[in-house]
Amino acid sequence: MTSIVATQTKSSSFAAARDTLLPALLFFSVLGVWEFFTWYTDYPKSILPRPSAIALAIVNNWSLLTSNILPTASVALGGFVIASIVGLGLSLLMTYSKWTKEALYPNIVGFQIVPKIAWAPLFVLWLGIEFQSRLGFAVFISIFPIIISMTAGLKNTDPTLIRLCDSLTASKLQTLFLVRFPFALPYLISAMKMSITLAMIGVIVGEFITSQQGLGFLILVAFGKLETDLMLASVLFLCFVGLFFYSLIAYASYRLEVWFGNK
Amino acid sequence: MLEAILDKIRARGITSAREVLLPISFFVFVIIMWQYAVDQKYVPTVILPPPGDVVAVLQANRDFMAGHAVSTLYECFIAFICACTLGLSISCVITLSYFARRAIYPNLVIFQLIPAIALAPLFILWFGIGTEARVAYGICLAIFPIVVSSSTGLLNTGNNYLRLCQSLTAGRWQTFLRVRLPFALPLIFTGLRIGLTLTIIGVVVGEFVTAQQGIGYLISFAASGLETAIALAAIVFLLFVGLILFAALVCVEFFAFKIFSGVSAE
Repeated sequence: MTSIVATQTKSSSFAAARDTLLPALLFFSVLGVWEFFTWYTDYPKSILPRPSAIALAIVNNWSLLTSNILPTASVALGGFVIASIVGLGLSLLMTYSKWTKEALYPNIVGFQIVPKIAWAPLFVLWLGIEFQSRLGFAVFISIFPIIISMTAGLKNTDPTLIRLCDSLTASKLQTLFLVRFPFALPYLISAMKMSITLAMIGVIVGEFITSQQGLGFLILVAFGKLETDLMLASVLFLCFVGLFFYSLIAYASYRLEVWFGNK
Repeated sequence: MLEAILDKIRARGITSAREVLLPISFFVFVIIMWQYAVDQKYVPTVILPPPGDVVAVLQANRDFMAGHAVSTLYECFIAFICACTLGLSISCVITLSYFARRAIYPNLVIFQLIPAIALAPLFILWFGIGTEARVAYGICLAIFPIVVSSSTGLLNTGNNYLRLCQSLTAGRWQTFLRVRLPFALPLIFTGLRIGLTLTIIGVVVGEFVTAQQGIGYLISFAASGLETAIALAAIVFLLFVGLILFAALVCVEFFAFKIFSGVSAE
């Protein structure tokens, strides 16, 4: 995230306080206006529930919400891990084999034109209505950023460094681990962040189409019962799951960078 | 004439005929293997119909599918135009007002965390099951990357240029129109591209859930009826819808760069 240009000069502590308080103030005032408006006009609960009603729904349905976290989260994480491994493997293949890269890479980039979401019902047709279809779809959706980013990253190491490795008689494997991979790390990290988000999206859409458990399924159930507060509570829980995974990836990438000596 | 075209192709990094022929032949090879696998009964036709079937379905139901494709195209177009207008206005407000910048921008970045995909049933609750729901959903999905990208581009003009404007006593609007906007064009159009992808995704998922008309409806309806050939043909139509929309965006980008030429760095 790039920083905002500050064209005023005030003391830095005031600036820091202002930069955190102002957005928080806006957020809570919007929340307050929402609560007041729905209370004052007695707005129908099924169309726009009050924030307090959503909080109440979280408390009342706590066990329901928490028990449905695991199916969604596990499929998303599993899909991401499989996509990372397969994607890394494919990009390694494409780095070291010119023919594979030239044959495969343009097809992969061209395949991106069709929004992969559209394939969701076909995955249900192919893999059934159990978790396999959601897992397969999550892998399918999240593998492309990894392949594309990692191929670019591994191929674009500085040729001077590769020549240095060659002149020091380093084997291909050594060059890979000690030079290519560490320099491709920023590409991998940004691709992984995109990938986990896409895996979550894939699982949620899969659960919309067919599911008997999970947070997406809970959203549909709440929608059917017109319990909008439970629906919004599930969305909030999905936010937290997404945030948790994103922080997990951010932390894992930090440790990776430390290990490879980039930091 | 031929030399000019070849030079343009070489400028894109393609140095030999092999780089064009290899991917195309790989694609053809995959189609041939597909046909072979179905012929040898390795794969049941219900799971993967032969490519000939898909082509036959495309030809037989051309008008019917084109109708749905046009509906999707229309909804994506409306949603994208609205998302652009709204998004660019919000980022203008963010750029021009110190208060808005510090209050709204961090909230927007945080709000990107909400998996907007999960809000599809909410939009049906609010707008019914018609075009409005799908268009609103597409707008909701697309607006965040548009605003965040454009704001980043508009806010991060080089300090020297801003100081030059200040020293020449340029007003906020003048600085905005003549300096910030041209320099931000690449990032704005990156955001617009992401926004267009998300609009298409939003409209298609909206069609999954509302199940009334459009390519998404065709795909989910065909898949639930085990008509894989129709579903694959519908995906081909979606490819064309996406191509048309992206071609339109590229044209707009071309003219925008022409109008603001000489300033934006490519």
